[in-house]
Amino acid sequence: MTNAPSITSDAADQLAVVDALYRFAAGIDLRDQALLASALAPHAVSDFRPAAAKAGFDYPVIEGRDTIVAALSGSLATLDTTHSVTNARVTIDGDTARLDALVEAQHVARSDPGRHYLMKNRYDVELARSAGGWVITRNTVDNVWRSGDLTVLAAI
Amino acid sequence: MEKLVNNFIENANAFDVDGMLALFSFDAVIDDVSVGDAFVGADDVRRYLEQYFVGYRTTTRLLTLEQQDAVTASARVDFTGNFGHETGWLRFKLGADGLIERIHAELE
Repeated sequence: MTNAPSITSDAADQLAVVDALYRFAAGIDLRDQALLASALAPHAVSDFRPAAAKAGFDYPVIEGRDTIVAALSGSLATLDTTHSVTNARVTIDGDTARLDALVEAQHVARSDPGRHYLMKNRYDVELARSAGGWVITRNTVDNVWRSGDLTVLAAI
Repeated sequence: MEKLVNNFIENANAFDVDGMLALFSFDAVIDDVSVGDAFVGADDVRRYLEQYFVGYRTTTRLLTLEQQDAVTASARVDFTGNFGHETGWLRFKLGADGLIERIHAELE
């Protein structure tokens, strides 16, 4: 098994790439800004426009790690959220990577937990290998289906 | 660039090595003429940051920032730590992915 180290290294990289998205999701859901920031490159771009358009609202492209963290923390402050990541497919090319995944995003109004808005989104994530691990450089979010009460998202 | 340089200094002053490393590309280089060595790649960059920022309990203060273009900027900084007090330059160069590709460091 002379190629075992390479296979092991590739597998470790693939897990590390997905872990960046796990940190992004958990950072939002746990309201842990440091964890959320750890998933993002300094110049990261978050493009939620395709998903927002399908849901019938506008959401601007957000650029820069600190701006993204502040925007998401502010937008989702009145909601309890769960972002569940599945079907991750990773392509690594040297020190960059591409991740395609389904993310089911549940949004529950904290003041009225009977109301929710559920989105099944497809994430197209571009990443770079930093000296501290893989970080997201661009995240484009499209939506597949959605259900529930859109007014739950009125605050964002 | 200004935000990134400030991020670097904030993380450095918090002795947050992981936070600093997330700003560097995997194959980044820190070329420090004051110590006469170049630190190449993630492991070497970590060693440099641990030694010269954490080890010396260095506090870094930005004095001026001159941005040459979209990817290069020179920060004149003030260092204090258990070595005493120095001023010097950190010359940043970013890669295409927005991460730090190179820092050329020198004391005055």
